[in-house]
Amino acid sequence: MSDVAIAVPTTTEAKDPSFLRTLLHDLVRSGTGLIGAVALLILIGAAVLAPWLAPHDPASQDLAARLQPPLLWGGTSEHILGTDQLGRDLFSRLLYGARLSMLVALAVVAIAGTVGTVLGLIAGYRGRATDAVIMRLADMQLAFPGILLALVILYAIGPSATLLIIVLSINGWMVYARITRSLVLGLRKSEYIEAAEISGAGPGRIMVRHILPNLVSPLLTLSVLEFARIILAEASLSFLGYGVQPPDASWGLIIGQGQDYLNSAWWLVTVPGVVICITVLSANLLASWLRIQTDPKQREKQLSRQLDALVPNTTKERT
Amino acid sequence: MTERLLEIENLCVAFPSRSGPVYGVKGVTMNVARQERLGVVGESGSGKSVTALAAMGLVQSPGRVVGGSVRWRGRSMFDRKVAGEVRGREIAMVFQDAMVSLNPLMTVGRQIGEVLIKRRGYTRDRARARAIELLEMVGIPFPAERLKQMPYEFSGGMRQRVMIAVALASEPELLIADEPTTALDVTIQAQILELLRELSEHLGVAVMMITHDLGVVAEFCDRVQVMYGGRVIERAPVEPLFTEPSHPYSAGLIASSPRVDVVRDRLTSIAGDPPAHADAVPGCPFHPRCPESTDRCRQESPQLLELRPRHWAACWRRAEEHGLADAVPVLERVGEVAR
Amino acid sequence: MKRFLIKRVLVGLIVVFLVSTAVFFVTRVVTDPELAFLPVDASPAQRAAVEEHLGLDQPILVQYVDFLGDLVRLDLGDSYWQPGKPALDIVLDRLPATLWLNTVAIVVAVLIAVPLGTVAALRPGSWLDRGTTTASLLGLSAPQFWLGFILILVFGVNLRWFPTSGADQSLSIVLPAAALALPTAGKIAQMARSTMIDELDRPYMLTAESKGLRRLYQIHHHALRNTLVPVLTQSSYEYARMLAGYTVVVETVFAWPGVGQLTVQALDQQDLMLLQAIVIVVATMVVVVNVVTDLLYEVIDPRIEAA
Repeated sequence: MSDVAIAVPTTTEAKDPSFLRTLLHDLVRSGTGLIGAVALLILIGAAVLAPWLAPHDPASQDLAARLQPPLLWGGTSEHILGTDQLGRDLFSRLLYGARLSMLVALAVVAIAGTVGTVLGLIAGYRGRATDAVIMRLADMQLAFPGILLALVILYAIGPSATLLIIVLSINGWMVYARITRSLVLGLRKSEYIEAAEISGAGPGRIMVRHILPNLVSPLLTLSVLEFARIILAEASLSFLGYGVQPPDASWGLIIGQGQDYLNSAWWLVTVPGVVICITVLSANLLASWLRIQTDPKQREKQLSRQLDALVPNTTKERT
Repeated sequence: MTERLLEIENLCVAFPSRSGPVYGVKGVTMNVARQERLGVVGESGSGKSVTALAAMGLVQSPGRVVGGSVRWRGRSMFDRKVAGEVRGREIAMVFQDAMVSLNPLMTVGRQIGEVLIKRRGYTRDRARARAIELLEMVGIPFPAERLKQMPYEFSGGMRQRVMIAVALASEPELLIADEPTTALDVTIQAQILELLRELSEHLGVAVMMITHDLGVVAEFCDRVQVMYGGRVIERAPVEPLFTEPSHPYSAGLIASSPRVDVVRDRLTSIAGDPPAHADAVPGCPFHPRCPESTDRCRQESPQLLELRPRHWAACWRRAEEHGLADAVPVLERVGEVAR
Repeated sequence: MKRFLIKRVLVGLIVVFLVSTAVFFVTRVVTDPELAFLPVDASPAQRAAVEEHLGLDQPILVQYVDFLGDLVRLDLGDSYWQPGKPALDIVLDRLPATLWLNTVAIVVAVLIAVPLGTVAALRPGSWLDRGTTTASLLGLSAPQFWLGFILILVFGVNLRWFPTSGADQSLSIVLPAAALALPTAGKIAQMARSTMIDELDRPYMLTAESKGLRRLYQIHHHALRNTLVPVLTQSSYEYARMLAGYTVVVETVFAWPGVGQLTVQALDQQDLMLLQAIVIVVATMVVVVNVVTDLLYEVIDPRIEAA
């Protein structure tokens, strides 16, 4: 039932063309936002380039080299992150696992995001009955025990990456719908839109030209956050064995397969988890930065340092 | 001359922006005397609200006071200790929108009571009785029951009265009212103004009334100050201002007010838009829209000069006409904030 | 207030009904429950016999009506895995352990996160603020089950401070509760911080300042109270989320004998009746928590009803 706190844009003017440039410029100058963005890019890049970066075939077993520790803990440079119980190289598996985990997350964000946004637009624009129906549906589904039902469905039909994507998408559209709807409702009330309506612009045109541009920033922030959430959800489901299936690899699945060796080969559980953490953390840092950028009040606070040149700030803010 | 309670000198308030610091208020000098009713008139962006906040030392980030002084009875309001003593005891403020300026999750009684208890040393029982008195004073029926209610249970006009009651609880010598009637219907507006006038007369409270509405000023104030582009551009007692405005902007403002007693086909207006901040326009902030502007107006920002007794205006043309053409252009001293 | 309560309960019942229907169809239509009882090479006759025994030979709508009738009488069928035992009883047997674990976890999370988050908002940019934000983000970025393993490795195996599985010892609850609590605490701290920051910026705080009230008083009596309302209700919804999902993985990692672990066991044993019962019971719990939260919220913030 929680809503992601996202600032509603207060203007309906079309964004000026240098918006993207200034955004990038600010990103480079920010601290944590940049770290998050760069880390995420590296991870996505690694996932995309996995076939070329991986030193070994992730499925190739080498029982002679099983359960070798990572390089820094006494292992060989042949397997810099060690091997699992079947002698498979952990680093390669992680790279390929990245592909699958991120693919699932991106697919879910794309599908749930599109469906949710469209439904939210319709609900916000049509209003009354359509709005009530869609929102009731969203509210009720929010009360469903999502992971549990997902587990049962995955078990019943038979787990696969595709089904996983479908199930997580069904679980995920509601947030987009809610936020889009409230944004649309807020924007519709603006006189700018009223003027456009009066001058004869049809709902389609209004939606595309006036409403959509204002949805970009909040929905972008939301998508990054959802990406992070899906990575975690997929990891949990795959860990339990009902997500991505062997011989494919996903980070959660690797942990699941390695849990029996927690005492002897701790790296099998620890390292994939660290990678998940870094991914999710980067996404969260990026999302935090995006949120600040699109919230005019926060930006003002950042800029107040300008005034230090004129007069030192002797009043401590807040307490 | 009656004692000056509030003295503001050369106040400069800056705000950060993408293109560097901009001034919301530049070089404002003004004062409020005991028991007087001063109106501060201006459009949005003229700096009137920022000035009001600065009078209480309440300029909030991202804005910052970067020059000048604000003194209450000789003590600087930029000194946190002084401000803490003066606020809620000697100066009180009534804000524009009572819906958001009152705590939505706290009873009205508590919001009045906390001033009485914390700032005036009342006991809880006495505070309750006094709060009921105050609600009565501002014209709220059934005050004893309404004490326990929340702000959202009041209508717009009633909420504004509650805010006034809260302000009066401090027993202030000066009440700063920032557009207290702007959010209300005209009929309610008249009631609130009448209430404020009665209260100020009976309690001897000075009022600094910030507004954009000349009608309010004509109705309520003794003295009027007109602000434009972050500066004071005219100041005079109310009648001389309306009958003989000096500054072209004031004249334009008065001329463009709709009048019931004169038949006119078209409303006159002042062409152009007000500047977004004090430095947006070089020289006199009004010169791009002024029918009388000269070269000097374009280059030098005019000083506020006393053209006639008690009638001040910041206009080079008027200055020349009154033989004060040698006045030196104003230099706002930025960087010295008197503490 | 009564109308509000009745409305929420009604909606809640509809949700439980919808969830029950969904799980019914998933367990009967999408899959074949009888397969759990049959050897791989079963003959059609054997299969038909099992189907009849389980009541699966009836038309699906008849089965559904029977199901609804049983549901109202709180009969959720017998478990396949433990024949003779009603599925509902098995679930209810395990429920207290789960509730205990999750309640401890949410209380700990709130007690850590709310003070840290609100104080961090009061000193933006300070060490406390940055530290809290960093810790929160780290916490909420970690998958719960993985956190569980790390806790086991560090505190259970290496330091040997706490037991790492089961619920028999008094300290058994520490590690699983920590695994549940830490990510949630991260979320709540972030929420508390941003709510407090928003409240401090509100006009009524300016009014309070203009009254000359001491800063500490302003924060305590105005901002804090107004912050706690949304924060505590959000925490309540997090509790519901814990029950509905995170508890499954954490209980599995720590072998905690609750409904979460039962879920995985039911999946392993292919016991669809048990799964069905679990989903319905958990859905009911989530609905109850949500309704209670909505009610409390309505009581504390009466504007909701007036709106």
